[in-house]
Amino acid sequence: MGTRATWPLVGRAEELDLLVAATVDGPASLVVAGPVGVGKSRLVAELLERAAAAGHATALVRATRSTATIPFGPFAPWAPDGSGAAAADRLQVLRSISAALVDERAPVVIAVDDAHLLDAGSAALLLHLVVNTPARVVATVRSGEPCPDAVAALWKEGLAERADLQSLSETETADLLEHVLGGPLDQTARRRLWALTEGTPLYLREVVRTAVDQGVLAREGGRWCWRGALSGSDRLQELMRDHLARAGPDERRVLDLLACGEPLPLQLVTHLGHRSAVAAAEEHGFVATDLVPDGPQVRLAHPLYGEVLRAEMPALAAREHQAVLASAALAVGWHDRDPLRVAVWCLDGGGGLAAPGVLLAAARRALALSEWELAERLARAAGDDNPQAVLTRAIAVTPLVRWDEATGLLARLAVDSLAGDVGPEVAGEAARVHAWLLFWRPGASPSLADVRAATQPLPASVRPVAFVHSAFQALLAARPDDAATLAAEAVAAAGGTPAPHGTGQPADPDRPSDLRVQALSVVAFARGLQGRTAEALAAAEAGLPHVPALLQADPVPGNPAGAMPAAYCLALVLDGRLADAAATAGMLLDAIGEEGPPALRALAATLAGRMALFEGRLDEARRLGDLGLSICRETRQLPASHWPAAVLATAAAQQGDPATAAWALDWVEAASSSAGLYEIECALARSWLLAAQGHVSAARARAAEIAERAAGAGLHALATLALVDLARLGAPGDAADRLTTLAPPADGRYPALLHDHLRALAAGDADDLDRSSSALEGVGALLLAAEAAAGAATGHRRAGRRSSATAAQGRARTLAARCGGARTPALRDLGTGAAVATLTDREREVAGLAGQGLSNREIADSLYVSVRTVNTHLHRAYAKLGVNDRTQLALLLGPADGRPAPG
Amino acid sequence: MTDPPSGLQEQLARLPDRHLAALRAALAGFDGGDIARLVGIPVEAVPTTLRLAAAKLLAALSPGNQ
Repeated sequence: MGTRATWPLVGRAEELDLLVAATVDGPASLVVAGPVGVGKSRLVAELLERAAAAGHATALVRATRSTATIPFGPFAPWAPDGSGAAAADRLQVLRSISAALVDERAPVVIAVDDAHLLDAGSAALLLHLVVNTPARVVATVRSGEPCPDAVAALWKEGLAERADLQSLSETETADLLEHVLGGPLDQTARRRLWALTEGTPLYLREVVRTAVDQGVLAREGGRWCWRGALSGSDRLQELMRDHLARAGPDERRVLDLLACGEPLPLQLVTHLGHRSAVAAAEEHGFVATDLVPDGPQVRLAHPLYGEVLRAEMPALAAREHQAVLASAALAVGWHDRDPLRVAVWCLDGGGGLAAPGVLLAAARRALALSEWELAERLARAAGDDNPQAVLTRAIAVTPLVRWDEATGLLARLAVDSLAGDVGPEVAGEAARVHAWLLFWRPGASPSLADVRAATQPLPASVRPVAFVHSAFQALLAARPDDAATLAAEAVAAAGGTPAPHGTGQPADPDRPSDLRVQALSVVAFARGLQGRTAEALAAAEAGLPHVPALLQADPVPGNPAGAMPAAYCLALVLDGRLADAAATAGMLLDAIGEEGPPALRALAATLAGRMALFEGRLDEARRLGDLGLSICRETRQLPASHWPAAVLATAAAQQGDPATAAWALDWVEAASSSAGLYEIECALARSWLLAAQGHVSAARARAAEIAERAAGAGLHALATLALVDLARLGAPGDAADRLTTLAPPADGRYPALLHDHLRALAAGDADDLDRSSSALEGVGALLLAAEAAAGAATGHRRAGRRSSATAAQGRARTLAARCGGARTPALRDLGTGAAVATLTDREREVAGLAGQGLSNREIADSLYVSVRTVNTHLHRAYAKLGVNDRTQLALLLGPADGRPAPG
Repeated sequence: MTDPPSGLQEQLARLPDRHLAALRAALAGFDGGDIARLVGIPVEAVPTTLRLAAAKLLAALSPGNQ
């Protein structure tokens, strides 16, 4: 990839059209302006190619800094012998060059690149060409650079139109990268490359080349992923050095400080005595000033300046700069506003400056940002004798799956004395880690009695918090009844005492305590998973209004209130309000915004993706699952990464893209072990992956096993979903048989519809499937509605009802078209004609695997049947489909992963 | 309860920020001088910028990009 000499011209179609219309199709001239690296020269080169293709003469004139001192230097190739600097009559030289360039009888397009660097004579010549000759001239100039008057006169006096080239948008940048790299990028790579280059093609090219060379941008399972940090490259440094060389010593000092700590408050820079240097640097375009609520702040004008300055900076100098920043920040009291950055400057600058309180406040801020390693480092620096610091370390290492360390740290806290020593908030957090370790230490599977026994020694004020956190963990462990029981015990244990977690909470008798809201969150989710829709909705609606404040003060992971958004959305789905559920999840994601706590953002993105899956909007589900997974990967929330991976994998597999699905599931399973709810979601995703890979029997077996497991845990809503998936994978009879025992009728409109749909599928009743399709579309389950219509079409066709079959097939196609590229087994017949519908399930599976290139032996091994049986199925399939070999089979059935993986 | 974000917003996101800003300012009735200051270009470049932005918007809204 990085070796390609020329990148494609992406995102410049309209600019090129403008230039062609003006100078190739018409006789006008144009000035193209823009910052360095935006692609002016590339655009003009493309224009000249178009002009030449149209039969016009072309000429390319390049001005450089070295030609700027030579009269007519850039036009030297067209100068008559004996002219140049020595010529006495410059007017004569100008006319001679003009005559050499312009043939009055034929159109000529002349491009002058970097016209701001033209010497006075060349600038006059350029003006002459535009005003006095039929030449069509395109000149490029760098915006912000001084221009010779004759060049500026072109647009100021209306002699040529001026087009300012802008950097590419984020979407255009992603399009370009996918084109160049030949594959999709994960969200982190997209975001990082955009943040680093701001859509400037030149920088983009160098950053991509460097990132690939350094292995920071690498292919994982067909997609480009970002991992680790980028160091500057020689070429990048060279590019930037050219710009930064114009900075004077004082400006350079400011730039170095900014490279170590941007953005910096202007107050701090002023304290350091650099205010005038900042003004000069701003004038030269090195820095920019933003007005934020805390006052003006200064940053480097381009993100790459910082990358290159840091790469060039000796380590000792960087430490000195950080020490300077730390001293200044502490002197002006900036640590109160931004303890995290000030504490990091203190540590990186040599340490010893920051008070433990600043370090601890910084560690807590880092926790909120899911910066676990940094939080642990800052808390460690705050001191071993500070219980809050020890607790912060325990919290920080728990998501990193460093169980033993977390246990050891917690043990040091002597929880019995916490309530008196450090206050209820810290005690509550200790109870959180206590519950986490109780459930998730390797090999742990505490019974209710174990939880009660472990909680009993805790102080009375801490016990309710420990119970509610244990309830939350029981929920995540897929034990809904235990979760609800522990939540109730938490509320009972709190009794009439003030809420331990509710410091600062106003005494409002009508408002439930924070602990009660957390308990309601757990109960709402537990009841939803059990299919007890009315109870789930009641609990959700009672607690929901109070959740945002709780999550704002204490974001997930770990806050039981984090279960509420998912609980409410699940309850809405069960109530048959899929669109409301999707809108709620979308609003949550919007409300959190890009700057919100990463853990909460990942949760909201995944929830929105899961709701899109319910609706059958696979593209959206895939995008949001990918976003959630990227955030989790970036912030190393390993246990939480299973859910978004499941959403991404399910969507991709249902789109017929097993490569992406396999990548997501393999990555997440290698990163950390899953358990409980996450494991069920991932297992269901894997059944869809198996189906997308053509292993339909294995996919069905997996779905049936998940239904059994979910039902065994009392998760009847999940069991129903798994049985519906089993039916969708081609085993409706088996699914219907299991329905009565595994998923008894639940309250709520959606489970009732699913039960009806499943029975209609099992009976193969086309009329019932038609009705099912309409009802499912009515609640917003588009993909299920499409599949029901496809099933109805098959049923009508088998019964000889041609017009009904055609109508159902048309309806299935229309619905499927709204499902973001769905290619589920139930939709296969839509694009392959009636012949495929005559295959038995086994013939279809064998033919599908053969079409993928598996040998008969491999198919036999995969399906646990004899080679002879495979031969029989295959020949029957050939006969029914009228094909002679596997190539024709593959063409007819389509490859399992035939859909290219989009981003 | 509000509707989920429309496809239009996604298509608009394809436009470079400054083109989008210029279009919005023009539609809001700002004059060329204001738009030039907003987008950081000379006032003489405003008409071409608006033409380019409009062309990009039309391309983003074309059926192939929906």
